[in-house]
Amino acid sequence: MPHYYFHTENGDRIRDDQGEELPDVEAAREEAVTVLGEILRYRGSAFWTTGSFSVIVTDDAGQAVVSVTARASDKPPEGWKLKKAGA
Amino acid sequence: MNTNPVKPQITNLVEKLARRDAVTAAEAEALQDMLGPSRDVRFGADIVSQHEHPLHSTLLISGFSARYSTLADGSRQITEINVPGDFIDLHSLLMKQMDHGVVALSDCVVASAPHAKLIRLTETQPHLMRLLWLDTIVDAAIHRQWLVAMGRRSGLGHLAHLVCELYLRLQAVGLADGMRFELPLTQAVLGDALGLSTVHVSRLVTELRGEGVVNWTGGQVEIVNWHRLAEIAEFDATYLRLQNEPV
Repeated sequence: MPHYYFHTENGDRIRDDQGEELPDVEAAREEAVTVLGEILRYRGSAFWTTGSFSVIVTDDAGQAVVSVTARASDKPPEGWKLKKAGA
Repeated sequence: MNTNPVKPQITNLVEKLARRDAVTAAEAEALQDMLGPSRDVRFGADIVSQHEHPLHSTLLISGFSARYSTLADGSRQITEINVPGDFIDLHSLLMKQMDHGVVALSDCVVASAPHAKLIRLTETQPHLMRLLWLDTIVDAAIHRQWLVAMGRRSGLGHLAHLVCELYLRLQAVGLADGMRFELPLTQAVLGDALGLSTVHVSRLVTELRGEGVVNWTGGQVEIVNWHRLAEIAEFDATYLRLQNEPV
């Protein structure tokens, strides 16, 4: 089974030197989004200070295979508009 | 492994029960009399399996085990970690069919008491049976605290709570050396106990170490700052019922 490493980036970078054996990249995706959710869950409004949190997955060769990022902002995402109720 | 042949089977159990109320010599003898010979269970093997109908209840004499349930996708949730002196499926005496399994988290030594003998004890040793009943009540209290931790505690608070609990439970059975104890559990096993990913557990262990609260290397844990650890965990030991009060 391939070995994947899950690094995090939220201003400071935490390197994962241990990694995990997972069957495939799909399982690595699942783990990445789980890790992101678990860590963000108790960040509270402090998350607005860093503004962004990423989990970056690398393989044995150190190549980034997938990543997932959450962002906090006082503005809505680019192009987002709330439709009028009932419209 | 039976490399310590001198340790009587009931040492840890009696030590724990005696923390709550005095155990008489006759009661200790009655406990010893109902146990069969010790046997080894290898790391990773089930001591009792889900849906089994055991005809005996099994006492953990050495090593660590865990109650667990698995989901269809293969993920496992550990619902309690057992330490030596735990009667891991005493409730099967009345539950009959196991609603969960118990797996060895290390090489373990166990011994079993036939249900027929336990039933007889309910008639001949009512005080001892109340002590054993209390132990299953404490199991339920542990499950409640785990539920609270799982639902509401932060990852760090949850891990700190587990460390506090295991320390006090091991200390109660004489298996802590000062503030140090053996905890031969992988981060994957801790993840299954905390309901967290291995990656997150590994970061939490690093964080707890970094705060100077614990020294945690390999399978050895030393609590450097109990006060701070208990504060992070918001730990209240009431549920472990380790005070001496007649039952």
